[in-house]
Amino acid sequence: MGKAVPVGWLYSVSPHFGDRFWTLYNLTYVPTHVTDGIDVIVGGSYAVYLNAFNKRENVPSPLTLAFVSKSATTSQAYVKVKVALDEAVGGGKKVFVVMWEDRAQGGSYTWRYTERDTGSHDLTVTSKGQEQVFENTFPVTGYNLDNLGVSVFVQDVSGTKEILNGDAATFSEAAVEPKSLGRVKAIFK
Amino acid sequence: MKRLVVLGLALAVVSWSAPRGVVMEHFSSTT
Repeated sequence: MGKAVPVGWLYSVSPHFGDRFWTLYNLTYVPTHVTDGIDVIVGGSYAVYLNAFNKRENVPSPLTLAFVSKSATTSQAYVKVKVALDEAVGGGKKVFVVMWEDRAQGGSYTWRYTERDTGSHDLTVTSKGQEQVFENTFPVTGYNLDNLGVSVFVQDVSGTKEILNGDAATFSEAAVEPKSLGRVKAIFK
Repeated sequence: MKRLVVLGLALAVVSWSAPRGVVMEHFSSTT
């Protein structure tokens, strides 16, 4: 049994080429790996990505994210998240809520963390001590509920593209699980 | 003594941080 090592809140896998985040980051090559919106690696390796994670993990965040409520049925999924500002942040920030399915079958391959739907919201609070709550309802169409989860992150979409913080959990878990090395490895198999 | 107090405050600010989750995105041409 391998030891699980946290590598972060991976939010989606594929397809990604040409999507809105590809445009946001103004990318040219595949594969490209982006950590917290600002550390861009073209090509790379697992060791390189892990190093990027370790650097970002030690950067203080000005805000805290929490799942207030989340649930999923065979027809829809619901998530409510709270953003609490521990420090002031400037304007131009968006909150992304991404529903993903882990271990989806695509042909003969088992995909890890496939993005199924995404909601975005403007973060309108900017002062220290302020809070804001966001809700999303996503349609569920044949997804495996045991493998369905959600990631949330706050990103500066108008300036640096930096992601200020992120969090993730499955719908069936009460608490957040640490992410394991297997997730990133699986992507580059 | 006054200098020590100021130093203590500065350290308190620097060492503060919220729990951070790092978001890693991978862009692939594979569908």
